[in-house]
Parts: sequence; C-alpha cells; structure tokens
Amino acid sequence: MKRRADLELHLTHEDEAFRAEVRAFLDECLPAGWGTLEYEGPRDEASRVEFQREWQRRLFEAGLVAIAWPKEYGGRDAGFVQQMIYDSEMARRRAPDPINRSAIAYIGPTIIQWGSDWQKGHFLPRILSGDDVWCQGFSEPGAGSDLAAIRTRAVLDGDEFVLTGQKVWTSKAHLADWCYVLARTDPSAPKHEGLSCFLVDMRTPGITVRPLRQISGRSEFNEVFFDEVRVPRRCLVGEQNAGWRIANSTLRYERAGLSRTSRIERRLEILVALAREITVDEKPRWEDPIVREHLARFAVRVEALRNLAARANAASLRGASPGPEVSIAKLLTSELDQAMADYAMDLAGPYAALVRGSPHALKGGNVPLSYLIMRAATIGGGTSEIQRNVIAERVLGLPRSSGTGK
Amino acid sequence: MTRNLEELAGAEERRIAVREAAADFLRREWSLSSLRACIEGDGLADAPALWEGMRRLGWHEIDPFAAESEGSLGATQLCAIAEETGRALAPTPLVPCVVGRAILRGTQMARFSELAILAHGEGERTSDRLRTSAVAVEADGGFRLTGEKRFVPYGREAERLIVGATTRDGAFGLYEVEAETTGVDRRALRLLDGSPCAEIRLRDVDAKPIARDDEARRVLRDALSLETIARCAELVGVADRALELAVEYAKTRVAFDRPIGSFQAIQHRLVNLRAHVEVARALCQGAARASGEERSALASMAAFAALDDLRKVPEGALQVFGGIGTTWEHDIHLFLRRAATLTALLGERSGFREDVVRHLEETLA
Repeated sequence: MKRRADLELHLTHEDEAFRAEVRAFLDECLPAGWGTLEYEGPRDEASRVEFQREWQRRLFEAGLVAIAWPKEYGGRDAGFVQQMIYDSEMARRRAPDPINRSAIAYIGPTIIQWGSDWQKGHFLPRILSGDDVWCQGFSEPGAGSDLAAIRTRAVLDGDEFVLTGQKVWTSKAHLADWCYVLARTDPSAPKHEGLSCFLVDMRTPGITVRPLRQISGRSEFNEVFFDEVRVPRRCLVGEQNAGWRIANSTLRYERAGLSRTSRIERRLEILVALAREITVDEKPRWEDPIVREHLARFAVRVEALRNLAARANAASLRGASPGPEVSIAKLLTSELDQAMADYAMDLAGPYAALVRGSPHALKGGNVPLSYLIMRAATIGGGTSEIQRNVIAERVLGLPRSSGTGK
Repeated sequence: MTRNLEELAGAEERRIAVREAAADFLRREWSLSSLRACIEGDGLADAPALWEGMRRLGWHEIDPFAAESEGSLGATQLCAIAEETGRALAPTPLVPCVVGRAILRGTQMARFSELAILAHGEGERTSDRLRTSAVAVEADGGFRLTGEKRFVPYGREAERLIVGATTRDGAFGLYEVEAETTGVDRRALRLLDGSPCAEIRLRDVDAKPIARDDEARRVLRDALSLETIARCAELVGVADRALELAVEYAKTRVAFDRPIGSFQAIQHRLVNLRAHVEVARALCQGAARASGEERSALASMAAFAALDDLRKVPEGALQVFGGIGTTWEHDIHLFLRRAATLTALLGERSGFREDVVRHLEETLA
C-alpha cells in the first residue's frame, strides 16, 4: 500500500527515527503472513488471549505500549505527530491489540488524571506490562444509556467499602485481575452526586462472573455480580461522591479509544477486495459505478475520521481529558464501521447468507459474522442516541432535552 | 386492471380472515425455541411437523394464478400467510411448494417428502432472472440435463426438481427431474437463519420436459415473480414483528426516569421503520393482485423496496433494544438473521432496478 498523505507532514529527524523504530519492531515481532486478508490468526479464545498477552509483553519491552502516556508513568510523552505515526504504522500492518488495550486507552489515563500517588505507582506499571488485566464495571441492567441510574452500592465500613450489585457488558471480566467500578456511595444525594469510582481486585471473595453469549455466537462480555465485596479505602479513585465527573472523563477516553480508525481502514480494504472479487453478469462489482459511488463515499469518510480520531486519541492518551468532540469521532466511526459491514452484505448478494462452515461461504463466513458483530458498534461505549445528545448539549450548546439529566 | 370497490373490500376481508387463521395456527404450532434448534445446527428440527399441519389446512393448494373468488385462495392470500410465517419466523416450504405446484399445475400431494422445488439459482450471479446455464440434450427420445444450481430452498428435501435448461440449438425449456436419481448430487448450504438450502449438481440426468420456448419463459417468469412477491411478504412479516417487539420495549424500558419511547430520537426511528414496512406491504399487495407482465413489474418494485428497506427494520429494532439486543438469548437477532437471509436470497438488485425502469419507460411511452 502506498504511503498515506498525512505522513507527508514535515517530520523531524526524531519523528523519522521513531517511525523507523516502530517499523523495525513490527518487522521483527509480527508473525509471518500477519495482516494479509488470508491470515487467520488464533481462532479459539484461549489462544487469542495468550497471543494478545504475548504481544503486549513485546510492546512493553520495546517501550511501545503507551507512547503518549507521560514519561514518569512509563510512556514517552509522545505528541500528536508521533501518535499519528504510531497509529498509522500499527494500522498499516494490522497489528493486533495488546491484551490491556482498554486499560491503556481509558483506565490508565483516568488513574493518571485522578488517582492517588499510591494508585499511580502501583497500578500503572502493571497495566503497561500486562501483569494485570483490567475490565470496567459501569453499565448495569437498569443503567445503560442512563448510566447515572446505577444501583450498585458501596457502603463504607471501617476502612473498607462494601460493594453489592450487578454489572453487565463487562468485557474481559472472565480474564481480569482488576475491575474499575462505578458505584453509588450516597443514595440520598441526587443521582449524579452520590457516585464514586473504585479499583476492585477481581480475586476478592463475593465476585461472580457469568459470560454473556452475543448474537455472533461469541462470548466476549460478562455479567459481574458483587455480593458484599470488600474494597480497601485506598482503592477509591479521587474523592468520594465525585465519581460522576471521574466516570465521565473515563467515558471520553473510551470514546476516543473507540474512534480509532484501524478497524474502519481494515473494513474498507475488505470491501474493496470483495468488490473486486464478486461478479454479477461476469463483471466485478468494482466496475459498477453505483458500487464505486458507495466505496468512494466510504473512503472519503474513513480518510476524514483518520484525522479526527487521531487528534482525539492523541489528546486523550496524553492525559489531557478529551472534550465532548470525541463523541463526534465515536459516533461517526462506529456508524461508518457498521454501514460498511452492512454494505458488505449488499455486495455479497446471496453469499451474504452463507455462514462459516458452509460450502461457498465468502472469506470463511466473515461477511455475515461481521454484520452481526457490528450491531453492537452503535450501542457499546454509549449508543449513537447518547452520543448525539452529548453533542447537541455540549458541542452545540442546545438546551438539554428534558429528562436526560446531566 | 380495474376492480370495483366492493370486490376489493371482499378480497380484503378474505385476506384478513386467512391472515388471522394463519397467525392463530402458528401461535399454537410454532415457537422460537424450535427455530433456535435449527440455527444451532440441529437441521430441520420441528419444521416438517409444522409443514404437515399447514398442508392439512390446505395452504399448499393455493393457486396463485387463479382469479380470486370466494372459494379459492389466490396470491393475495398466499402473501397474507407468508407474512404470518415471517412474523412467526417459521421455516416452511410454503413458498417454494406453491411455486413448484404452480409450474406443475398442482399435480402433487406436497407432503414434506413430495415437494417439487424450482431449482433456479446459480453460483454465478446475474441480473437476468430467466437466465440458466444448465444444458439439456435430447437422447433416446427423452432429455438429459447437466448443470449446477445453488441457493435452492429445500433442495435436499425435494422429491422432484424443476430446472430451466437450454438445448444445443438454443431452445429454452423447463424440465422436471427426480431428485433421488443417478447423476444428482445435493449438498447442504448453511444459512444465517438456519433454514434449509442446497447446492445441486446435475450430471446427465434423465429429465421430463414441462414447457418449451415462449411458454416456458412465461411460466418461469410468472413463477419467479410469484416467488419474489411471496418472499417480500415474508420479509414484511419479519420486519413487522421485529418492529412490534421494539415498540413494546420502548413503552416499558425506562431511562432517565421516562419510558425510552417518549424520546423523539426513539420515536422518529420507530416511525421511519414503520414507514418502511407499510411501503413494502403496499407494494406486495399491489403485486399480488396483478397478473402477467404487470405483476412481474410490480413484483420487481416490491423487491426493490424490500432490498432497500426491510433489513433495516430489525437492524433499527435491535438498536432500540440496546445492549440486551446484542445477546444470543434475546429473540431480536433471530429476526435480523431471517431478514438478512431473505434479503440476500431475494435476487439481484440491478435486475429489479432495470425491471422498474423499463416499466417506467413503458408506462410513460
């Protein structure tokens, strides 16, 4: 693939050296054949997890796991340009995610912004090394879009908080060593004012994890039940009852993380490959002007989002809490990702109905599988509806719609 | 074709009566847990038993080309039933069975083991719906067929297959072959919604001619438009029920201390989805009432609208359910799978588009 226009920025010697370093690392560490459309990688979950752990260890050893984090916490203080280089090189080679991607992208930055010295000293290095795998316990069955409606209680008892409640959509909970939990510490306060954030050791007695099967057939999420789980006071993040502000900064980091564009770039490439491969009336779809119109539209948006998302991401990973603009990036990226997966179904025609294991399934049945998986893109990390509310209120400054709270 | 309002009202009454009977039957005889068994790979599960029940009600005997009268079930009623099987997500060979019988003029009993199925799809996609690459060779006073068919619903369950083929001198004909005979090789394709589908290879298979030349083309065209209309009707049913579930949920799920259905974002989404359903249903019913070339053009219109809009309905419904809608145990993905499968197998969009545009040209000329 040709070098992309954004890297034609005026790179300093330092930036050039950095790019060479990332490339050398990827050359050395990626498995042979990685990133081609044919490469399948580890299929079952256990080997996928093991692979991601190993990948994080290698990134860590090379000092490349969280380059935008401040130097004092193990990052490199990388600025926008280097983050762009990093993202773009990783995307170009389809590099896998480190096991702790979400912790690096949003839990770590939250601890950097709000955590105590002890929390920073203890947790940040272990997030980077991958020694601790993290999950995040925010959503509950009765509190998704309306996150502040959570009911999980944390009651101070001596020097410990006692947590009781249920979380849902907790990815990696079945693997996690630690969980970042939002809980209610003051039930008598207005709903946004009685919340606090905790760092909870998943080995504490009273925690039960139950996997949730998704419509794709995979199980990546869990329900997590807390039954009188005792959490030491030093694991409270920031001030007690200041949790809503802290959680919101985490959500912005999360949105920034969810708006990274490697996935939509990959999907665009897959679409183009499909369009070239699939024929109707013995002509590749790629030659059909209507198909070209669609692909051009997708390509233009992917290009725009690469810029938009890189900015949000770079600011976010530096620990500068990103603004509500990241909602725009998350909204557009997830909707585009989903739209492209939907369009792959249209392109594939009857072959869109053939699943993995069927004769003649396209690319191992990946077209319908991605279609199913992508339903969650506009739901997880804040639904499109919520992102639009946030943008309307905080970016455009429109009056709050009644009922949507803070 | 013009009809007086009284006739139309009578037809509408009969349509509603049939629809209610179908809904009632399916409520009693079919549950989504049986469908889950099909998707999890248990083959047909309870589908054959369901079909026997439908056959006992005489639904397989619908004559979709008959002029509608009080005594007979026509295409409008077929669509009404198909819409209900769509709503119930019931996998039945109703549509392929009626299509097959229409071509063969209703000679068969149509038990599950006696289905005669039109095998027309192929691996190579084409916008010319009548096209076939199968070849017929005259031999020993009969015909022998060679060709490959793909995406054939109930193709492995069928007793007989109906295949279009061309002879060496270019004459098109429709033929009937016994499915359990030398030279027929059938294998299952696995579909997203768990319904049965096959790929069929024919090598030098004995075949009985059904129709030739213009008559064969006309019969095939009519059969395919009928199939298109009925599948669209089924899609309308799938979409309609998925939307209904989302609407019910929007009334009860509370966020920000209000039912989510009170938020305009949700209301407008649901209204738009309802509009998709209404448009497609109106087109289906119009096409079902028409006949001949007019029905063919209207069927393509229904298909064009269905391809554009109907898969979006369960997609949008799932969005309203939010996280819970992305879980296996929730039913909404079953509707999504069925809608995506029906959409995928409906036919080439470019073919329908050209039909619509041709019709537009002709009506303006």
